Order: sequence, then structure tokens, then C-alpha cells
Amino acid sequence: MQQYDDIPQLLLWKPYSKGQLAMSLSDFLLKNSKTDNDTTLSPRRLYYINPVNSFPLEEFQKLVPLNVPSNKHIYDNIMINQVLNMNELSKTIDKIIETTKDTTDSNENESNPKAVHTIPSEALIVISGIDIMFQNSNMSDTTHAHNLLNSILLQLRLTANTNHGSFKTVVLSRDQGVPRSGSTTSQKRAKHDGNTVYDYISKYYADYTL
Amino acid sequence: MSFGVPLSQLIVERPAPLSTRLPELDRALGTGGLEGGSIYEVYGPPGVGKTRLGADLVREFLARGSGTGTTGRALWCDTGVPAPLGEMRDVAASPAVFHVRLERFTELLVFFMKLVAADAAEHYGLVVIDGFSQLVVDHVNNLASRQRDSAPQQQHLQQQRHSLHEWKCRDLTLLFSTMTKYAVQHNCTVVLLDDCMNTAYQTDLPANLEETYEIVADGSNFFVSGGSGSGSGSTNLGGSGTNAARGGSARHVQALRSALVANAGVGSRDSTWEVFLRGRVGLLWDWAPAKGEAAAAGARGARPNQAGASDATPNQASGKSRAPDRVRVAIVYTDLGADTAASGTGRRAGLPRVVQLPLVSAPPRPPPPSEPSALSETPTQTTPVLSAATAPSQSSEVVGDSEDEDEPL
Repeated sequence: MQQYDDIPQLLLWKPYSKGQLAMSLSDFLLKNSKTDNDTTLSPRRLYYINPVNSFPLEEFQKLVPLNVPSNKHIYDNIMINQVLNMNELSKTIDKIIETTKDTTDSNENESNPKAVHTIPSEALIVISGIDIMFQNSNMSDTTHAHNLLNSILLQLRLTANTNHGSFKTVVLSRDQGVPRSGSTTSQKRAKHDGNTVYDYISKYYADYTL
Repeated sequence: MSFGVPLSQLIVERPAPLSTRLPELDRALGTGGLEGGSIYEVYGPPGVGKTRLGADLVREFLARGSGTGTTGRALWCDTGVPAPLGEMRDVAASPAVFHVRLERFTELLVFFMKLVAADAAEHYGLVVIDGFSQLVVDHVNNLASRQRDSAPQQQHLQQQRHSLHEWKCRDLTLLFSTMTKYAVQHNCTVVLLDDCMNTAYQTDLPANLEETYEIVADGSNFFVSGGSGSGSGSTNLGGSGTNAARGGSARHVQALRSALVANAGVGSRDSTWEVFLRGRVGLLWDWAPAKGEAAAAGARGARPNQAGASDATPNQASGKSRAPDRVRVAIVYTDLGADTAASGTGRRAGLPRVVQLPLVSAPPRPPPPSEPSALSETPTQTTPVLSAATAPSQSSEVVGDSEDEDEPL
């Protein structure tokens, strides 16, 4: 993945590995992180949303050792959310947006003399396994699941637009994409199964796919 | 639903991985054991030691709790045939171990839904479900019979199978979602002890089955692949790793898969529910030529018997040759959700690790029948115990003739 500034408002990232993911997340959090000598920068906050226990903790701990005292705030700024369906995802995204808005407002209104140099908190939302969430909702109500998917992605894009680059979303894809082997059976099956959620996001909402 | 937990808090609250008491397996899992907040599947033929592994996990869980002074609660869930209680008396006698008997897939689903909604103070840190796959197989078979009744002749067989697979995936996803919710909420480790099934059910069977597969001529009824690389390419093949490692290109490869995958609802979209599994461990038998016989067997072009748990006794060995040594192997799959990922080590995620485990020692004599164990005294076990004759497991049908095929407990 790229540097935070280069990340578009909504990025679909595939394929990924735990090592790559951990490295990108640590890059995002370590660059520009708040140190004892520098109080002008707000720490970045990472919201990791996933249905299963999939945060690459081992790999991340190798890159950002927990026993280093200065790294503690980095771990404090990673929020893990377990979300199993689109309803829960919608609520979680709403709360994140609300929290981000509050933080930005408080930073802008801060009355310390260094407030001029203060930048709003940068937030990165990483959504892993959105296909599972969609599938779980799709089982009970297909139309509602589609509506929620659209509204969530629209909301993310809208918030990113109004926050001027300080609110970005990365959707991690588990999609296998086009089979490399060129197996006709696999291609037929993929055609039969229709577009995946990731195809849909890539086509209509993501700035681009990595 | 709660709104996020800081990672620092999660790390503090996260319990240490639960050791399986098999150091080789702990290492192969990569984390030193089974992690909390996760679901693991253990599958294998009867008698390979799945229930023993489950009992050892409960023991380890209790020992860890007593070491830290915070003994958690463990739940043992029986499904079909109750677990043999020979070596489990200590487990059953513990007040921290609870027992429940569930005989339907839907019962299990409702049970976990109630657990999710139950008081957080009374949660389980370890849940072992013995014979989980049998519930799923029965459930799929029920769906199949209903499907046959509702649309007897019109529907093509392939359509029926596709539909069954869809139903299986949907229901397993629903169940595993609920299980995952509970497991993550309470840092609970859920262990599923499953049967295995041969590759007669594998997904990409060619139409000309006989040309690609053959049946072992030693009396066992396993389908085996004609070459080490001719499997379906799935991550569920059992035994291929060890045999391929020996470089025997012409050797038959035993391919056993979890009964969750290989059943009447076989299909291509198992990844939809497999993503909920943190790891999958296949416990299988493998056969190594007896010492001193390997070279001679190689010279004769003989192939060691690799037909699962159907023992080749010394009497069966022809002439002066000895029976092959039986070894127990574990095939460990992790990162089941990372389909296309290439790990940082250059090793493709999803490829299994194969480790050799010590053989299970001979079980001691079970207690006399007049001495009921604590498990059987629990009020939840009110249903009559099914006999092996009325509820045979899938894999025991496949494995066949061994007399001591009960779990060695």
C-alpha cells in the first residue's frame, strides 16, 4: 500500500498478506506519530473493522514492539471493531464519523498557543471481510443488504470529501479475481456466481483498485 | 455490538494460546497453541486421537486456570455417540467442566444464540464440540431428503447438489457467525472435532472418474488419486504433503478431507464459511516402511499401505517382511481466509504444514459400568445414548473393518 497522503478516498486493496498489511498499517501510524517533543501533531487513528479475528497482530508487533514505551499510544490508537453484518457495519461507520468529527472540532477550537500548527486527526478505516458481512445480511434481506452497502460506501466517500484528505478508507479484498490458470471450469463458475461484492465496490465506489 | 476496543486493551485481555500438549502441533500452529477468540477444526479418522486431543485441551485449560488462580469454565458438547469416559474421568469430575448433549444442527445454533445473549459473567473459555461434522452431515442429508420430496424428478442432479451446497454454506455461515461473535466477546476458544471423508466427494471430479482414479486393491474402499499432484487443488487434501515429500510420483495418494467439506453438500464455495476457522488440523495415519524393509520394498516397487486406519497387522505381512510402521501425522492449515495471499516468507498462505506426532498410547481399561462418571450424571444428558449401530459415523463407514475404532480414551 502507498503512503497515507497518496491513498485515495476509498481504496480497494487486493491481494494482501498479513505481513504487507501489518507493514502498511505501521507505516501509517508511525509516520507523523506524536512524540514527546512534538505536540503539534495529532496522532493518527486506525479503525480496523473485521468479522473475524483477523488483525495481523503478530506481524504488527514485530514491526512496532509493544515493550517500547513510546509505542504504547500507537496501540491505543488502533480500534478493533468486530462487525458481522451490514447493519452493524453501518452503525459502526456512523459512530466513527461522529467521533472523527468531534475530534476535529475539538482540535480546531483548542485554545493553546500552538493551535495554529495543529492539524486535524487523520483517520484510516480498514474494512476487512466486507463480503462476509454482506453475505450475512444478504441471507435475511437481499434488498436491504444492497441498500446498506450503497449507503455505507456513499457515506464514506461523502465524509472523505468533506474532511479534505484526513479521512480515508481501505477495503481489503479477499477476492481471488481472474483465475490465473485459465481454467474454463473456474471461469464458468465465476460467471455463474455473478459479481462479487468486491467487483461491485471496485466498479462503482473505489477510486482505484490496488 | 460494542464500538471498538483499543488494540492495547485487547492484547492485555487476550489469554495465552492454549497448548495442545503436543509440542510439534503447537509449533506447527505458529502461535504456540490455540488462540482465544477463534474457532479451530480438528478432523481425522476414528481412533486417531481427536477426542483425546479435545480432552487434553480441557485439561490444559483447567491447569492454566489453576496456575493463575482464575479457573475458567469449559464446555464439552457431545453430539452423536458420547465421548468414551475412560481417561476423561478427571475432566468430567472437575466442577469447571460443563457438559451438554446436542443432537441437531439447529439445536446447536439456538444454543450458541442463547450463549451470545447470556450473562457475560457465566461464559466459557473453551468449548469443545465432539462430532460436530455429524450434525452437519445429518442436517445436509435432511435437506437433501426434503429436496427430493419436494422436487422428485424434475430437478437435475447437478442442480440439486448445487442447491444443497448453497444451503450448507448458508447455514454454516450463520452458525459460525454466531460462534465467532461469542468467541470474540469472551476470548473463547471453540474446537470442533470432526470426522473425515474420502475424496469420493471431492468437488472437481472429472466425468471419467475411472480413468483418473482407482480403488486400492487391498480391500479398503478409498478412492485414491493416480498421482501426487492430481488432486482437486483444494487446501483440504490430507496426506499428499507427506507422500509428495517422499518423491514417489507414481505412488497413490490418500486424500481425506474434513466431513464438513466432503459430504452430500459438496461444492466450490466452502471458503464462505471456512474463513471463520482460524485453523484446521487434520490428524491422520501415515505408513512408513518398517526399518530395514524400506530399501527392499523400494527395490521390489512395493507400495506401503496408506489406507487410513485399517490396520495391517503383522500376520498380514507376507513372508518374512514386517508390517509397515504406523505413524501419526498432523496436517495444519492456517490462514484459511487468506485465499490469494502470498506471505512475507515467500510461502503461499494456505499451504499446510505437516508434522509427525507421537503415537497415542494404549488406553487404560474403562471403569466398571457400575461406576457412573460425572459427565453421565449431568442433568442435560437426558436423551438415550445412540448406539454405534444406529448412528454410524461417516468415516467409520469408510474406514471399515477395524474393531477398535472408538476414540482411544
